[in-house]
Amino acid sequence: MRWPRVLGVALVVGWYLGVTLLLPLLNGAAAEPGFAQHARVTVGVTLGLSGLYLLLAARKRRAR
Amino acid sequence: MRAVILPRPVLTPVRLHDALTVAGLATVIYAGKLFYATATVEGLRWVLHPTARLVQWLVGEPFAYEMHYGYVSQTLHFAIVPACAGVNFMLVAFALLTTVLCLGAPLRQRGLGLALAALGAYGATVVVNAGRIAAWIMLREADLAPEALHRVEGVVVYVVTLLVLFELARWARSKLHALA
Repeated sequence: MRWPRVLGVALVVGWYLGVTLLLPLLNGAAAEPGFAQHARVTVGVTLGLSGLYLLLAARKRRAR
Repeated sequence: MRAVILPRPVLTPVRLHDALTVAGLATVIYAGKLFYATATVEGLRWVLHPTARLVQWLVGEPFAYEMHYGYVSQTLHFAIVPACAGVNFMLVAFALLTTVLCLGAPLRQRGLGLALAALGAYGATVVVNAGRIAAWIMLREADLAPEALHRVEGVVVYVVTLLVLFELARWARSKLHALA
């Protein structure tokens, strides 16, 4: 059985945001200058690309 | 004779192995983050050295090792320092590959999955990070790269690579399953 793509995207987003934003936040990175902008860019680009990937995968599946 | 339906055990061996895998993974991620937070150039040479050699090959300019600082190109005025090592990406790639290749798998396949995850995460980090640094150097040399683009470039490269790694791991998992 192949892994569902939605679950895969959830893993990618979860692990990436967890390691690059959540762990630094827990260690007090929120007070650092530029962290808010870094977080906005990271979350925006990650969610945007993941959504695009799911959209493309769904279109490919429908085309088959 | 009446058939007796026994309740399914809550903790099957596979579930126990999954729980141990997730706990081990969380420990590795946390330890990796702690290590990276204080790591020196010397401590990161295992990843910085191949990355610098690959960047050198891609941009065609030499990078020399400078103790306690990083790999420096005098001609490009550019240094590859510990912050460029891509250890965060390596941890995420390792976690992703381990999750897809190992969870719910039989024990023997899990061992193979773990080895593939470690090798895949290391290889992907060196190649992708070198490509990212080389692309940034080329854009900067051509005056096409404002500083704000640098951050976006990093996230785009890493997230796209993670999605590609997921597709590869998904394919590898089905092949391993078919072989078993």
